[in-house]
Amino acid sequence: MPARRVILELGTGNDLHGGDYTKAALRAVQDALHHSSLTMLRTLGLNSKTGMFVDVTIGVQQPDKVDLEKVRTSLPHGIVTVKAVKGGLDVPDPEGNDIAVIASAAVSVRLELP
Amino acid sequence: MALKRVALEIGMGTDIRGGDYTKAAVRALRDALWHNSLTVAGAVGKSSDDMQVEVLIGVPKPDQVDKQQVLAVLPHGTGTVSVVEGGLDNCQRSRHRQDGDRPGGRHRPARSLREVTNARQTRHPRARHRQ
Repeated sequence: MPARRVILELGTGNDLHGGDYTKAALRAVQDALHHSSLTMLRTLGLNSKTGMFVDVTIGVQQPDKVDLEKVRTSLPHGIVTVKAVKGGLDVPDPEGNDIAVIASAAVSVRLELP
Repeated sequence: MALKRVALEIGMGTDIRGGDYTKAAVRALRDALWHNSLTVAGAVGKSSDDMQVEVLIGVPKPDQVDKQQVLAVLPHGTGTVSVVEGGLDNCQRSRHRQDGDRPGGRHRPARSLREVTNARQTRHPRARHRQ
């Protein structure tokens, strides 16, 4: 049975000092996750270990600098896949060398529904 | 078929200067709703408008929230709004007055919990949809 998408969760995260894209991505994922609770897993009696698929897309200006494995292990449930694409925003600091980076996260959840 | 709760969405909203609890509540609900795109209705063969949406707002003065304005935010389904004492008032009257603001201008976050229940069998007439 194909898994069907039940929700798309959106979030943003920053790293204001240091330009750490992974840190910004982790915060974006946490922001996306913690605006909602998928109570349907319990009410419909679903198994998150086998029937829940979580697809994460991170948008940052330098996607190759995101530690995808760190992002993957930060998600608490489901079979997780992570990819990073060019997006987000880099905010340069004209006076110093302290760039601020913004990451966008989209977390799509698919479930094998009864 | 019995209604089942499928998602809980959480948001926060403020009215920084006006002290308008309804405005803060509307912003809290928007924050809760538009961090997510709920596609579970279609996935279980229902329409988004089959959803029953229960909105819970927390503000320090619940009687000052216009529930109709809060309800009007909901884009799909049938909604109910309840308001309880909660949220936060941040009183800094003296500083606001010095800044030339309205007296009593306060920072008022409202917390909103949106409970979505799905699987209502009957589709609601279009006239009752809230855009």
